Amino acid sequence: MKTLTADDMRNTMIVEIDKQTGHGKSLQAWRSIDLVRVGLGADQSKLVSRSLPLGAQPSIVHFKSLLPMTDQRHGYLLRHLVAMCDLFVPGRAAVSLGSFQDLSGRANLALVKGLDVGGCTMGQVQTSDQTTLCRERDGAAADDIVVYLVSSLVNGSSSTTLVGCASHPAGQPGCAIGEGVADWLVAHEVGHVLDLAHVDSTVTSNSRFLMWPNVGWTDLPPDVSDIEFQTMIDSSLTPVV
Amino acid sequence: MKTYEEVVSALGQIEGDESMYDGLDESDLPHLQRLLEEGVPWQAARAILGLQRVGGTAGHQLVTEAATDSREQVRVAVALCARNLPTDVSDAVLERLVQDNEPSVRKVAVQSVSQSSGPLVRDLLSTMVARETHDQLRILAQERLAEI
Repeated sequence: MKTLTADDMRNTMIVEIDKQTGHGKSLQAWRSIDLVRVGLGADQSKLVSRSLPLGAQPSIVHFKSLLPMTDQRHGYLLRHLVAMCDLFVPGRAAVSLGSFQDLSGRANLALVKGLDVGGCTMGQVQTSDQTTLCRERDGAAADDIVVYLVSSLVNGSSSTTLVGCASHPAGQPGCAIGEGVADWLVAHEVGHVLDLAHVDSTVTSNSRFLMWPNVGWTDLPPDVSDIEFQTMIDSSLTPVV
Repeated sequence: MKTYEEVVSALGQIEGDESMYDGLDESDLPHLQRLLEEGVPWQAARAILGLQRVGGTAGHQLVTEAATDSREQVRVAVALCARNLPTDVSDAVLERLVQDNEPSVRKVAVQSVSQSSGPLVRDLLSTMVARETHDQLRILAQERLAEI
């Protein structure tokens, strides 16, 4: 499968937004971030919500980077966002972009850029690093999900590393991810935040599912089962009207 | 004998734990070395932790050399595994990494200093207590020094 370049993704987004909003050629002059904001955020009524059942609302996802928000990193997060929307919207477990924020200049976060997540077990006591990081929720409502981009995720007690972790302090829903991972990592971690568990890793054919615990997904894009969609819709974090 | 792809897959867990390394042995050293050199930073970091576990003397040499790697994630992994390396190897990497430019690397290095660490590493920790500009790191170094 051909890998999409940033230009490919931008052009695809322009075509799709034009189809659904009628903004036409003026879209060519927009910054990529604005295209995404309109496509998936501020103007989401034209895109996301038309796929939702009456009265349902998308979960809002914010991205906060502890690394300088270069174009490359911005593109990385956008690819993950678009991949997540593509997976979730058809199952009516929609997500919508809240904001992007560059936290790389915060001196108080310099140490948690290498984030110690302990055993990364949902519902258990978090590390001091996670407590420090998850307080950073500028612009996010109580039930919004914050995705933090960090340099490293480590378990200091067992000398192992992770590429994503969704354990978070109560009342501060969020997850942390590293760089350089396939486009479905954010969807996988947000899936955890919305109550999804891993599929059985002893069944090899389960590698086609998003909640496979390894980045070696097969039959891309990965699948989300109807039961998993319903679990996400039923999550206490999914807004209801 | 495993293939390179099998080693890459074994180390591909998202929320990885120690069980990732259960199937590896010293014969996988060439694959781990290749992953260190060719993998993206998070994969290279996992290769470091694999080399520490199963690489033997040759693996430890690669870990030592990686203390000067340009990738922050790799240096964090070296600092992380230092506590499980033989004392002479551990001292060699910690002497460098407690002075690393990146605070996040220094943090993990400080946490890896142990009672078996050599006098130079302890001296460097004392220097951090006196001169570290990052407040939290200075406190961390102070606490670590008191513990050991």
